[in-house]
Amino acid sequence: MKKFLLYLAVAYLAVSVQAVFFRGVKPDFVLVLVCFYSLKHGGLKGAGYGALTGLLIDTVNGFVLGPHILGKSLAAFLVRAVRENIFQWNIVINTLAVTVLSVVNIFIVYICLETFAKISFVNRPWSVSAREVVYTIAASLALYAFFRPERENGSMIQG
Amino acid sequence: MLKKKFSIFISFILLVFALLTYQSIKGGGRFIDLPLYPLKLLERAGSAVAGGVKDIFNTYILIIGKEEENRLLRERLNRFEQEKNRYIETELENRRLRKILQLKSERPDYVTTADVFARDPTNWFQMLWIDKGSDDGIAKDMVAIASAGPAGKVQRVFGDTANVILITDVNSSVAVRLQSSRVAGILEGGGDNRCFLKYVSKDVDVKVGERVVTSGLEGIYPEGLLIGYVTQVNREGGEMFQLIEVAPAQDLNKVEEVAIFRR
Repeated sequence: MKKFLLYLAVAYLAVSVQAVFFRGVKPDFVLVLVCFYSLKHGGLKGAGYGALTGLLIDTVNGFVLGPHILGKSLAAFLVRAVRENIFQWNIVINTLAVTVLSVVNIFIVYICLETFAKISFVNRPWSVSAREVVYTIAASLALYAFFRPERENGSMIQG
Repeated sequence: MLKKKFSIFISFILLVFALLTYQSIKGGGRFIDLPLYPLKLLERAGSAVAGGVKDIFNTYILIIGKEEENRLLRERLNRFEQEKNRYIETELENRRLRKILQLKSERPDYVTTADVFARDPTNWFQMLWIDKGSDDGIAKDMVAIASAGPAGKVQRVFGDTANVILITDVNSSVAVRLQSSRVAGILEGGGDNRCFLKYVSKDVDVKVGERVVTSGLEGIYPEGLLIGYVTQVNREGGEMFQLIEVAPAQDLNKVEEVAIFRR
């Protein structure tokens, strides 16, 4: 529980930093955190963490319930499902996973906003999403050394 | 085991879908603005820390390794530098505020001036959070104007905060006209730092650098405000209209304060 709250506080800090200090296209630090948390603590816990951080982002975005709840919890569940089918986890596989999940997350948010909030993003250039993915990869590489999910191999099999 | 976890997860996803559908039909629900308060504090703390680091850099780091006899002189020089920096900052702030005050005196529909404390944490919306809300008379669809031009319009309002949807947001549309040819069109946000002027016929000769001003036809933005400059014109393709790219007059990444005006 302590770790969960700590991770939640870190996610809140990440959202705040993105909202206050970043201009232009921003990396998705929260997605990276969700992946690391899920890899260490299991898919369901990760999905719960993803849902709460998603709720936080949606709240700061001006929604009550929004697409990030779905996007982040799905990312957590998927990264764990991939992990359970791969013997070894290293920085290359982690980067690939973050890349794919970042793209999946963008698609989910796009579809949910178009469907539920009826906000059209037809005019939005794809370069913004492409840059977001690149920056998120960079964030994941930078944070990998601090979180190192492969260290938890023993406990991960149970999760 | 995996099947059970998968079932729990699918149930959760379905529940979220159901709630999203319910929210979409019922329309919103009460917004919780509690998470915004720490953002305000963080912005203030961040500015203070940045200022402190800058001061340390200016006063200490730069003089490490210098001779003792130079130290006092350099300290004095650094103090002057700091003071000069402060004057420059104050001067810049004064200039911005003077422009806003000028707007205030020119327009009777002025409501208040507010500081920007946060932006959208994702890349989906182009919006700002400002530190004033309905307590200061701000209401939905009021216009936020920065020192160099319109920034956007107020979308959601709470007691002491409000969010402003910028003119570069994909959901923003402003009635504008080209200043020299007087041709009207709709300025839509591009989702990044650009806007696009739409519904201008291919027959109209639009030049790069031409000024784009608000026409006031949509009943939200006041008429005659400089909103941007034409940066690119594309007449190719089979469409009836040309695609005109417009750079906002105000660099919206640098907006620190906005004046709010009534519709």
